[in-house]
Amino acid sequence: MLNEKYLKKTLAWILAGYILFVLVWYFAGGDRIRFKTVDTGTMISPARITGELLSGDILEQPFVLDAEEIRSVVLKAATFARENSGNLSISLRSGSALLAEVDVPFSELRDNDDFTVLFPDPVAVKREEPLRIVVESSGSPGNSVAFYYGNTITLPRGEIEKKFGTEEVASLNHKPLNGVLCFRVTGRKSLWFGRYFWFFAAAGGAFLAAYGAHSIRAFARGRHTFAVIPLAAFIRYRFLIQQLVARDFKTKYKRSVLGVFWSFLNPILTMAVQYFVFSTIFRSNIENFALYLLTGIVCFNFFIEATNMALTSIVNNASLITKVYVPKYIYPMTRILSSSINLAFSLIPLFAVMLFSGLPFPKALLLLPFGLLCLLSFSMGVGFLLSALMVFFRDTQFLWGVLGMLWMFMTPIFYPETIIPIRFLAIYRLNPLYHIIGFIRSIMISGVSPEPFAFLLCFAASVTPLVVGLFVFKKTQDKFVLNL
Amino acid sequence: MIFAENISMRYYIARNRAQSIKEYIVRMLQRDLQYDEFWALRDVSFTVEKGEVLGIVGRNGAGKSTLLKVISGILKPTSGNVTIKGNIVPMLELGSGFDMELTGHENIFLNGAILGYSKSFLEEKYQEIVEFSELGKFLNTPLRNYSSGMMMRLAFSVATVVNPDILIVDEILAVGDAGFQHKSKQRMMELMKGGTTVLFVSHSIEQIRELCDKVLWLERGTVKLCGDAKEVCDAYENRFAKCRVPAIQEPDEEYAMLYVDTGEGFNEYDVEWVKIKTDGTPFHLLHVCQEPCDHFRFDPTQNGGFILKELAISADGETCSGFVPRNIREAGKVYHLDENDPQIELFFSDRVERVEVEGRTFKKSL
Repeated sequence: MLNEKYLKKTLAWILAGYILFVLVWYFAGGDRIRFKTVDTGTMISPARITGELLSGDILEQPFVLDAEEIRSVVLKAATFARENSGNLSISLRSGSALLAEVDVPFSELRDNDDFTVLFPDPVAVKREEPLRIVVESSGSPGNSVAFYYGNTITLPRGEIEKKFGTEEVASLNHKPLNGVLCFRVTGRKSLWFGRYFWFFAAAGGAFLAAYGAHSIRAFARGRHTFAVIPLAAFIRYRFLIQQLVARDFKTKYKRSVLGVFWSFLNPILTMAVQYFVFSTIFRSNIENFALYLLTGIVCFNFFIEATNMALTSIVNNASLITKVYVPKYIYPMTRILSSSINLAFSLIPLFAVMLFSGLPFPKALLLLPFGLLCLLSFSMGVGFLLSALMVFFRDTQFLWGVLGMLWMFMTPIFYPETIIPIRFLAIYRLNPLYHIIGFIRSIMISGVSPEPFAFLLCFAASVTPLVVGLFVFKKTQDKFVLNL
Repeated sequence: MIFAENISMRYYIARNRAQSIKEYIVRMLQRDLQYDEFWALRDVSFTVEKGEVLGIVGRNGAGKSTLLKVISGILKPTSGNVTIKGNIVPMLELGSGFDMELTGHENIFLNGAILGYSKSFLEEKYQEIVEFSELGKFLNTPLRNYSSGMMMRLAFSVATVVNPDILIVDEILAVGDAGFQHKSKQRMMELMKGGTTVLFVSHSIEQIRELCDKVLWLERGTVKLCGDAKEVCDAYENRFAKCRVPAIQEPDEEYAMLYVDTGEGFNEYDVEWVKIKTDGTPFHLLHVCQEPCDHFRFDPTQNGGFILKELAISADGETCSGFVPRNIREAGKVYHLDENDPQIELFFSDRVERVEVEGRTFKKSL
């Protein structure tokens, strides 16, 4: 039974967990908490070339970027496959003011390739301020370079022509060109969240502490606050939960030869098949495709397995539910918890593939538990919803088979997100799994902490379904017995 | 302590339950969702003090099981409150939490957890459970290899190891072979006499009389009588008194046996044995069904050699008009039985509760 000492201990653990989370976030998040990297987007496809840029020519490219400082500019040059000698002077200007200037010797340029101009110091600019990249050259005819421009972008499904206004197009010697330069400007802006990070963290901590103190006081007076009710139930039934989880896990692979090895064999084999299909038959140019694929598969397999297990949890335990009183939420919950043991096992091949891909283990990996908890909470929400629905409509299980497949195709698991037409993107992003898998991939593949907004999205994408699922479950659970 | 206040439980019985979303929607559009209201319990109130044994009696369908389920928290009453102090161990159906793939040892813990025992309690009592079940060497075998008797023995041993505040017992369970049956019965008696609060449902009025302090008699979901055990038991037993046909005991007299069977599914509580003289003395049988019934069978073939000669049947106090007699030749209100096929089956157009049969039998001339 729950007593005051135990409650205090648990609440202290929750608070400690919160503090640990904040510290890990701060430590692993680094600059990503305070700044957001912004750029001018996908580079235009190189369609035309300016011709040799000679001494005295001025190539200008206006742009607007919502950034507070600019770090680098990328341009695409042609050297006409020869060794040129001379210099390019690349500057960043606002109106008539020169903000920064960098000299690049021709020898650093490779033919038909991007080159990056990194400003020695970040250039401070105003947000949304109209800026210009100005390129000048010391070249002479036969000894100079040229730049690519165009007005189409290449997408996996073909070229798209873009319309540019007169203030957007590049100009050579103040004469407008038909299109914009192949360029990308990268900068960053500071996030107000980062500025107030410790404020938010302290506010959250203070709220938790105050609520905890309130709960303890209420408990001493014999009342349970909203947060203590599930805790009390959990403590009361933890032995049962433990037994049911152990049961599910033990019986899952009971009569198979390889037993628990299937937990990591399964995702690895799925990955192998899909890797073969999507890297040789359907070409895909995703970096670290194996890891990209496996992250998606591990997350999605868990989701499908957990929801399928939860789906039948009430119906299959009908004999118990109609005979012994146990809070009904325990059945779907234990099913999902036992699938999460499988998830833990399937992380082993994930890390193995990460090691084989030659990626370092970044400190952002410390944030992985957050992503996994979100995945767990989301699956639990859907699981609760399905298990309740299943009681009233047995069709749910067949419907879920189809919906699960649809969901798989609606989630970027084996294809890059870029193949989704822009007009569908808004709907596409309503998929909570999109945000959760994106969050986990950002940690696993890019090795950087997701930006603060991604944390919020991930949190919302997992807690909302959980609340909805729990609400529906709670509202309908008294009628379960009558329909079993 | 149990305090039940005006418990009512309403069921909606769908006339044609929609099993799928499609069917449901089609029905909804056709406005064809019909429900029959059925009150399984209506305003049931009682209190059980700590340490008291409350017996619950009533016919099948009177609401006994529903009441037990409401008290153990499985069903939520439509209205009314149940206040319970202490932990409940329901002994409703043994072994429903078993998993066939797990071993006996694992199942002891699983089933114990389902019944609400704590880990330390189970560890402490583990040896006792094993000894009681006499399954020593089989405990590391998966349950699917157990015989049904072994399974029941294990289930019983786990279920009765407790010392709960409130025990809910639906019939005294006697499982396994004769030896174990005796042992398990003994154990149940111990548990019930051991000072815990017990809710006890039984069809054996003798057991109720023996074990209970207080008896609740349910009839069609309402409390017919509640109070001192002896008083209620007497009243309950006498409810049939006026309709019993006195059995004829003279051993040298020739008599036939007649029993009434409600047809669908053999239900021992709806079987009434009557001894009838086969010398043409008129007999009168009144049968009150445990559950309203629309189908009767008279089977006078038990002892073979007699003929049901004349028969008048009335149901629910009225002369029966709605039944479809088979093997009976109609003759006004008195029917003549076909001598070659003496079984009678009756189908009533409405569900009835009281069936009266009058007639005469003769010894079959061989």
